[in-house]
Amino acid sequence: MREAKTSATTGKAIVRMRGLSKSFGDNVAFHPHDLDIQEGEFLALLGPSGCGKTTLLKMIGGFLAPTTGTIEISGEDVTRYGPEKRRTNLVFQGYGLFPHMTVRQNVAYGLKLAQTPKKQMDEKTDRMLSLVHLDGYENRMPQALSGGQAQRVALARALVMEPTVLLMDECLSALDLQLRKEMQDELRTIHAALGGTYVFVTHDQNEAMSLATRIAVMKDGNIVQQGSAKDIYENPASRFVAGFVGEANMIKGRRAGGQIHAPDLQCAVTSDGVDCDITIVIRPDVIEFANPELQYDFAMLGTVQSKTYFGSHLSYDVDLDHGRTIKLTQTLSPADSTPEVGQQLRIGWNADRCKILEAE
Amino acid sequence: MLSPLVLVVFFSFGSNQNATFPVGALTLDWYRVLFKNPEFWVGLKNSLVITVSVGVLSTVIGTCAAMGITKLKSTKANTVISALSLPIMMPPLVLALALVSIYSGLGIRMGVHTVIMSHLVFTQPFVIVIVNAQLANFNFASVDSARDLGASPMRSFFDIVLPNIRPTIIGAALIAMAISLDDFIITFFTIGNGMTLPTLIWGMMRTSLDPSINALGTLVLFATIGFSAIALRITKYQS
Ligand SMILES: Nc1ncnc2c1ncn2[C@@H]1O[C@H](COP(=O)(O)OP(=O)(O)O)[C@@H](O)[C@H]1O
Ligand SMILES: [Mg+2]
Repeated sequence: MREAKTSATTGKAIVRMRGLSKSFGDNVAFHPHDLDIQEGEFLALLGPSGCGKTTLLKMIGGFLAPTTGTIEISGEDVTRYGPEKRRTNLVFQGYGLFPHMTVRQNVAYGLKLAQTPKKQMDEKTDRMLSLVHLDGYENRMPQALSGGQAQRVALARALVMEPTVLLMDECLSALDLQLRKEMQDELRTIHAALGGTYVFVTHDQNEAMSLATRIAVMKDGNIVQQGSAKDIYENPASRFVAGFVGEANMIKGRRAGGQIHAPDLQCAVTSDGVDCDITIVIRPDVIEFANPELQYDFAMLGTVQSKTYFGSHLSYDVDLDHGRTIKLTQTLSPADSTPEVGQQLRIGWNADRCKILEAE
Repeated sequence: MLSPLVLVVFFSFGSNQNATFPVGALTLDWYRVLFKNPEFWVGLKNSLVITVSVGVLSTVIGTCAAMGITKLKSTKANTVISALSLPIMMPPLVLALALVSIYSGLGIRMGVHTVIMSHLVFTQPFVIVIVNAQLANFNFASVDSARDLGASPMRSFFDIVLPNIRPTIIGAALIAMAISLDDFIITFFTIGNGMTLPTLIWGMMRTSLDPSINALGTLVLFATIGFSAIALRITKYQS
């Protein structure tokens, strides 16, 4: 068997997974991993469709039995427990509201099963409904709710249980952009207000970056990188991560004798390290229109091919003299001059702002 | 097509001894004759026991089977449903013979209980198909949610699945009961010395043709129509 990948960290881990994996027949949906989830964190599992996010989430929630490995929650081994025995609650992709119950009955269902005294049950339900702004909708049936309202009911129904870990599976992805942004804000507010440990599955990097305190990037059943949004954006560990999280220009080249040679670069740059194929990853926001008075590690000539206005910033495509296109963004301040399409100019960036990946 | 049925009903209320036209004066005499016949009460009791047992059992077993089939992949599910439907595609006579040879082979004495078992064989496919069709539209994420909120598998079935498919299940039960109540061939072969209302009609037909047969026929007819009508109404309400 393969060695489990260890990405366990120290600190107060509320969920502790060791050697956890899941296969469906020959198809390995999640390769063996060690993974810890810290108390109070908002962890995003980010990756393209089919990379095993839901599989991992369902193992934590008790809906899928792992093929190998163990899961501990609050120090207790729950590997063999079904969902009803775990203090986790999952907000499903399709919400899974109970169609024959009112909003209030939906939210109170878990408390009722736990035989919470009536008075306490009503109080908790009311508090939760008003937290998600559903006061006045108590007696509606799920069919009579909008997508956003149904989403809130599903969230309230899980949160009212005060789960040790709240699990969410792409639960905002069915909403339109405007509503999704609002719900992201609300989720952040709720997390700040109530505390608790959240795990959030998404394929949307913006969503992950705006919500999570830690992001785990997944690909083909592996967690390929973990860290804060800033970490991952600035220091992607692979071409995949660089391309998936945020926009990136990637220039292929070779390092030999401490020098970088890349056909797309019009300059030679020094770089320490062994001789190998490399990829230079440059985020669009670190490239500047060259100021003639400044020195740049990387500098080259190009022609502005397109210019798009985004309110807070401009986005340019610049064609380098031998064909390659570089994306760059310029934050707007009134004093800036903005080059026009067709204009010839020099662009540049510094080595400490870009990332050099050795060949994978 | 319907005229023989209408005639049966007509004659059952007419005073003409020979059950021919003219019908004669309107009367309930034939029903009185029927109710005085002790065999009628035996047949009625057996028919009730069989119909109700078949209704309950085929619904419980059929619903469990349908729940199981829903968990299968669709190609597999179709194969299973086709296999389970074989008994209703066979000629009833062949099915009856097959059942009789099984019972005698196993040394099971025939009576009301064998009729119930036999009826289950061909009422169940209807229940399975009807319930399965309803479950196909059911969102099982709500069952997962119930489990997540602390419900056992059993509890989630009773709290979430059942309330949403209850009308369909009742409809399926009534259809199973209508089919069971109506059956003659299989009942005739598997009941041994006993009798039900349909086999009583057959017996009376061989001995006498007085209109109390028509009275009995009318009763069975209305019971069957009643079950089916309620079933249709209930299942229609849902969609
Ligand atoms: N019940 C299942 N049976 C067989 N394969 C499955 C099952 N569930 C998921 N898979 C496979 O596991 C992989 C990961 O799926 P999933 O965790 O749903 O991905 P994601 O949520 O990241 O889109 C996919 O290749 C998928 O086809
Ligand atoms: Mg998924």
